[in-house]
Amino acid sequence: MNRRIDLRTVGQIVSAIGLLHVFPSEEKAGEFLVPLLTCLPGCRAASLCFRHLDSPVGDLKGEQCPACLTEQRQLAETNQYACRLVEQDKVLAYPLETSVQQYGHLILSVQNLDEYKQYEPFVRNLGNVLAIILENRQQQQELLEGRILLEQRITDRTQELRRANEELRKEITNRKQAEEALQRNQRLLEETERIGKVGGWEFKIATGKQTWTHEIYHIHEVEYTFDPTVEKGVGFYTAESRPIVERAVRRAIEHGEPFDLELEIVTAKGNLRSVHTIGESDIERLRIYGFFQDITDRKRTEEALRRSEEKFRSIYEESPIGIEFYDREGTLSDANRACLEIFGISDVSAIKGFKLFDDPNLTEELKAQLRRCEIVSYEIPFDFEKVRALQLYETTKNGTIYLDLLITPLRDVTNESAIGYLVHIRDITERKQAEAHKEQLEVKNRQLQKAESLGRMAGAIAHTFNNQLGVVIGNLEMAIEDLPQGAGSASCLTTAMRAANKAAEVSGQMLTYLGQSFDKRERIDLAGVCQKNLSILKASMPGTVELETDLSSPGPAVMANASEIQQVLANLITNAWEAVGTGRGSIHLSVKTISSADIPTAHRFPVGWQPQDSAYACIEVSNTGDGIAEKDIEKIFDPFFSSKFTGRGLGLAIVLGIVKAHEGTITVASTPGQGSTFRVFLPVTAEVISKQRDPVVKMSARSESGTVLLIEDEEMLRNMATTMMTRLGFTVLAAKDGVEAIEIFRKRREEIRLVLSDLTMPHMDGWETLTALRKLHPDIPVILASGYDEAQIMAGDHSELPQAFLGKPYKLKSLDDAIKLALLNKK
Amino acid sequence: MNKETAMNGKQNLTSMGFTRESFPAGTHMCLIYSQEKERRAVIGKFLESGILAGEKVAYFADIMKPEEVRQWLLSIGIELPEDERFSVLDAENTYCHNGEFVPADMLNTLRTFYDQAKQADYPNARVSGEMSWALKGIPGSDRLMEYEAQVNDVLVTHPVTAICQYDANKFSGATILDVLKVHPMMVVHGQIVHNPYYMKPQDFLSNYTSRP
Repeated sequence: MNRRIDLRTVGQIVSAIGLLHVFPSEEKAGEFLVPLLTCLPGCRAASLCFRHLDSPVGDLKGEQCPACLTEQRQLAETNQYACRLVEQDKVLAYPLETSVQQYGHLILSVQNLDEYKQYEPFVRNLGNVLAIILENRQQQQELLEGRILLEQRITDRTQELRRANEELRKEITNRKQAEEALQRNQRLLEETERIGKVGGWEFKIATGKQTWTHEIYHIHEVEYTFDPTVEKGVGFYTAESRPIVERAVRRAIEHGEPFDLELEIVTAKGNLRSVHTIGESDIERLRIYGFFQDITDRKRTEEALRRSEEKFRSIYEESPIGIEFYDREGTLSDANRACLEIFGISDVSAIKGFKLFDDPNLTEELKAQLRRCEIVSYEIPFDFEKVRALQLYETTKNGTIYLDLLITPLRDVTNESAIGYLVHIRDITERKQAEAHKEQLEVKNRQLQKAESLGRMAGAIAHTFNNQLGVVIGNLEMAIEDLPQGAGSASCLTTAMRAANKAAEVSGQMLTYLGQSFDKRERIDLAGVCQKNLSILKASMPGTVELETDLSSPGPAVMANASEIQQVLANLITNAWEAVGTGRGSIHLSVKTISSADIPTAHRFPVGWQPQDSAYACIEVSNTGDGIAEKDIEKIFDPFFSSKFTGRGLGLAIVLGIVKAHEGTITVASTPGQGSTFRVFLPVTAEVISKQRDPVVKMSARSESGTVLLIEDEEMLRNMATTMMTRLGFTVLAAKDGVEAIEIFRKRREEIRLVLSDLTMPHMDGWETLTALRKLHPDIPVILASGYDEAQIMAGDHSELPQAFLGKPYKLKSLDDAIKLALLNKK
Repeated sequence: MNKETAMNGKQNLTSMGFTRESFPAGTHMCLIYSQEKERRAVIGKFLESGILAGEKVAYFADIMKPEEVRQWLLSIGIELPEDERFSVLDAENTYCHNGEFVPADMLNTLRTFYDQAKQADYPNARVSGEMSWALKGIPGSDRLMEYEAQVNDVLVTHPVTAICQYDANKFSGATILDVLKVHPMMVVHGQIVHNPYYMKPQDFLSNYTSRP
């Protein structure tokens, strides 16, 4: 019976076929299909039996599944199997199979087969499609698994390749770094060679082939194309160096001996270079190899350094300044020659190890400064007795010297602590002594200036006093002459005259002390003058004192006033026997000539006297008395100083005055308890005074007359002289100074016969006035009057000389004699 | 009111984006899928065509988070409107507003969505939902098929074009068969076809509720 097919049902089956692909598993597909198939016309129940599932999907409603699939599985692996349910009635089983495999069965329990049969093709198609989908899914699964496996393999392989690639990259990197390092090292080596001017060489014994590095080509000044055979290499050495290097190379080859030589080569460009070559033998590899360096600069530097060292060593050794080096502990490490001389040390080894900080002559304060790293500069007295007492070192020096020390701490890099000490030492003993001497001289000079000032004042007073006495004596003389015979006042005037003369004598002694005596000097035999007065002096000496003499005559000649020399001798002898006292003793007198160099400098008077001549006559008077205390020696020549009860204190003062006036000196040497020695030194003379006119006193007894021009600034003296010359018969034109005198002389030149001029005057002195007058009248006779010594006055160069000299104070007779002498000596 | 003239009285066809043909607005479709690639290919086109057509579009996300949906759509070149025209909502919150799935509530939500689109003069409205939320054991979720059947009646008066997404990997085969029965149209191999399993809502419901 043909039934009409339901298109909707067909559509549902077809749609189901279209939807099968969305179900991810057989089970899900079964869940979807079972209700669909169950609703098919004629069907009672449906089930799907899948090979991979333990139980079918769906329920056949009473039909018991015989588990054929399980059995089949147990029997053998097979792609095809039959469903046993089909053996029952109304059960249809459609295999879900492809040409490859069977996946199960679609089973329907049919209640109306006819009704169902119309849809069977669609169901069979559904089963086929499902089988294809399952196969497709399985294949996809297998494909997926295969793909996963492949991907895993690819991944693994990729990782392996990546690892290998990474290792390769690292290897390449390492290799590159190694190559770069090698290149850097090569560059560094070349730069090092260039900077150090050093190269390497190798000589293959077997082949005779020699290899040089670049720098050796450069040192030899050859191109890199140069073939450095051994012969050529040796050929660069100088004649002196060549045999040395040849022998060294030979011994290295034959005996394996290394060598280390400093030689000279001449480069290809002809430059002489010092080289240092070192060679070592490598017997196993049959080669010698080594090092070659241009040491020309180093040699030059060493030579310069050596010269510099020598120079500085010479400076160090020859330096007049003592130099010491101490280490950081203050232990002496070296000292130069000057230093050894200063400290009286024979060899530097004698003081090596001397501790600076143990130096007893270094104060604690200075040591503290040094420890603070401060520069110390100081002057100290250095006492060798302390060195001996502490047994610091052996020295030939004694006493105390003065040192100027400069101690410089040598700082370390931190500038905080000393790494040693540099000491500069100068022996300033002489300077110190000179300074002390200079100080003494300055003291003496001040004393001298003071004495000279006092002397000038005393001299001025003595001269004024002399002038006044001259007025007194002159007027007294004229008054006595004018007195009538037996006048009662005669004795009074005579007494006054005696007192005035005594006063003039004291005044003269004063001038003598001041060296301003006016006594005339002549060439005398000094020993002879002494001998002449010896008997008188012996007579006045006590009998207990013996006088020994050494007066060989003729002795040295001097220009002196004999009476003054006698005065000197008398004072010295008197002083000597008074020094001996009442006990026994002796005095020794001698006269001799000595060199100026032998004149003692100690206790020499006047202070500051220096010899002007080469030879001096010496009167030496020594006694065996008590001697003079050191502190008194400087005072014994002071006026009115006396250690004796009876003395006036003028004796030695007068001696000094006379000696000073004679441009001589007197020295005193005395040892308390042993006696004293006085030595008077006077310049010796070989000739007579040429300029001094010896007055030839052949004056006539007749009186002279005429006009005299009198020039005197002292009014009283001028008046007295006017009176005296008027008495002598002259007409006097008086002028108070040279200017006024010249004026008078111009006007009355024809009547003026003679000029009497004082020497010391304001405006124009006597010499200037004399010169001016001689210009007006070259022949005019002139008398110069002065309280000073004639010899002193006449000494020196004068264009005009007077006809006569008149000493002040003068009497009528000496005035008359001078006038007569002047007129007599008129040109 | 006929659903074809719901918005403007004229026949209202709309493009689904992944087929050449246009379909009437209010078409209720199911997408049964097992491949995510397949799902995205269909849904991406569906949403894009709605946005491009100026429709009000809503998407109920469950397997993806809403923000992930936006990022995915942007990544395939879809310009997403910044305003209410396009919204991505959490499916669970949308379907189960108070922690329970009540079909009537969701049907009202669907109506409201359509009314709002209408008021805002959108030419059409469309939605798509990931239905996997129904597998989480949420109270009322067993009434999903009841809801799906009733939707067909609602869409007659409120023609919102809809695609319900069912993952064949997650839903059982029997459930899938029920899904087919409540959707008049289904997407198979990227094509929209009439569903031969479809049953009228009343038939389905009477049969469905009488199941043991």
